[in-house]
Amino acid sequence: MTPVILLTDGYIANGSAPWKIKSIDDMPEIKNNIIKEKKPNWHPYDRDEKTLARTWAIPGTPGLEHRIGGLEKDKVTGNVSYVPENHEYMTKIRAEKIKRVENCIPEIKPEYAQEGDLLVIGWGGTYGTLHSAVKQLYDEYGYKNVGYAHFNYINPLPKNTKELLSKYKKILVCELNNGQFANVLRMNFTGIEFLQFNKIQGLPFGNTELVQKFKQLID
Amino acid sequence: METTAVKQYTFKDFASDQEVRWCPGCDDYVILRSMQKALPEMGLKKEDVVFISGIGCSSRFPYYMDTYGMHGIHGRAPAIATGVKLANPKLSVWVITGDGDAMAIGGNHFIHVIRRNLDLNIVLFNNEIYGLTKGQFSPTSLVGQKTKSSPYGNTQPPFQPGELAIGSQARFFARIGGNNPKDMTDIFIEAEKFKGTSLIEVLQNCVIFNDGCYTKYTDKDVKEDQQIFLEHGKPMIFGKNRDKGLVLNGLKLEVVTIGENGITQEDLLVHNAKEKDPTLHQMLVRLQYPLATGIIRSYDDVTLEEREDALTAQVKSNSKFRKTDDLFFSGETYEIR
Ligand SMILES: Cc1ncc(C[n+]2csc(CCOP(=O)(O)OP(=O)(O)O)c2C)c(N)n1
Ligand code: SF4
Ligand SMILES: [Mg+2]
Repeated sequence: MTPVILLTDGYIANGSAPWKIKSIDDMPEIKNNIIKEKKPNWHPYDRDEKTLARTWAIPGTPGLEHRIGGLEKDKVTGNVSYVPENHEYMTKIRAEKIKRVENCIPEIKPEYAQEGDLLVIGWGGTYGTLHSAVKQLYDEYGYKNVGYAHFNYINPLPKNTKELLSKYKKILVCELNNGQFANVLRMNFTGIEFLQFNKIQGLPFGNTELVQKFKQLID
Repeated sequence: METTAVKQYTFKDFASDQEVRWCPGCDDYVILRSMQKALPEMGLKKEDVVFISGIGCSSRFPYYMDTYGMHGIHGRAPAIATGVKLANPKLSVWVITGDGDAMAIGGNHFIHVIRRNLDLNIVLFNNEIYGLTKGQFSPTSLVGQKTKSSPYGNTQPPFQPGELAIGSQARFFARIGGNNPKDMTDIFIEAEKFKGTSLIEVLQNCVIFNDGCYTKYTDKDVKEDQQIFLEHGKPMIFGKNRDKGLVLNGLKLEVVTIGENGITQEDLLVHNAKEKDPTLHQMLVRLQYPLATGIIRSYDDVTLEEREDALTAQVKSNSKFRKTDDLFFSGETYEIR
């Protein structure tokens, strides 16, 4: 029961690509934490030690009646709680639960230079244009010092993000907005300089403008 | 609903151990107690009862019931409740909402849930004000009503919840005074029995921000003269002396006195809550004198679940899709080798 917000954009929505259809048998099983019967000492807000996930007692299950909702809840009983310390604890544990999702998502792996002078960062629907511009520099123009990292997870960030960032001299965050992801990175990694390349014209990045910008930063 | 081998509950079984946070004297307590008294009469298992609310003083209700419950999102209880009911149709699902929750921010959800006729029960706590946020006018506040957000008087004509609901094809609509626990309890039981969406409007006094808004109808001294309590199959009669009644005069309801102008009880309209045509029910809902209470409309119709089940069975029997993969690999798919 962790809310997932899927960010998408017009480019992804309107784009098309061949897609290998999986059989349902090849898909990972979706597991849930539903508790089917009353156990002694069960509490609605008990958490799994590792993931901090709670069990899920659904209506129709005898003996596990409880209430959920937007008011702050006691960390064990799940009853409404107005205790200041409990609220602080719950706020922190919810944040920690999301943080631990980093244990379930893949680490980030850059393409092209694994370390070097410039790391280009993108996310969302800009993959195609950013990737081909970096590829062109690397393959055609011989810039073996440019790497590209495309983020599929923004919160939490992949566990090895800091390590990745430390391997390049300059970091350029390219976004089709005013720099939201650059700000997320700044907030998470103080002391690292994030350069920005933004375009907010309702148009995708053009190859020429990208190549020109990248070159300008390394030459 | 399963009725076999159900434990005999008392109202205490449905009371949670949580401290109730409503203001002393609030009619919400009456509604809570009436519900706790009605539930043991319904032959349900406790674990099969679910209360889903939105936001407001009224929407704190689920916390005080020892059943499954969810204090939801402002105006969105119908959507959550629809999901709960469709996921497990044997549950008895109750939506708890206020006049603001149901008709301001949740107006859209409200009319559509009623139109669809899923087997849900909706209890609308109508105090003609936003209580929780400390007294702003709501969609049921009266013209001229002075509130925190209308210091010189409200200029917006109010909704009549029953009128809106019947306009949205409500099959079951009841109205009851917030100071009448006995009839309220009975109405809750009838609402549960009814297959389809039942809406119960409680005229709920908010002692803090809109005190006395219903006294002219609900006060002990006046209620028999100012309210007509409707019962299916019974004449539309009211008054302390049981000498007043309703007749139809052209396209209007008219109050008459038995014994005057040759009127006898035989001349009075007989309440037919089960009539499909809602015209008379709408007229009753709009009536200002006397104010109609009781079960005004209770028309048996096909429920959404029944329609869904029938459609599913029909599509299943004809469908070329037998499993999910059949669907995945259907249509214009091709393979790159
Ligand atoms: C999305 C959202 N908008 C506004 C609010 C503020 N708010 C809380 S309760 C409420 C009105 C509740 O009025 P009503 O449904 O009549 O409930 P009452 O408190 O009178 O029982 C409002 C506007 C909110 N909680 N959430
Ligand atoms: S503010 Fe009004 S509606 Fe809310 S609990 Fe108090 S009396 Fe009841
Ligand atoms: Mg209200």
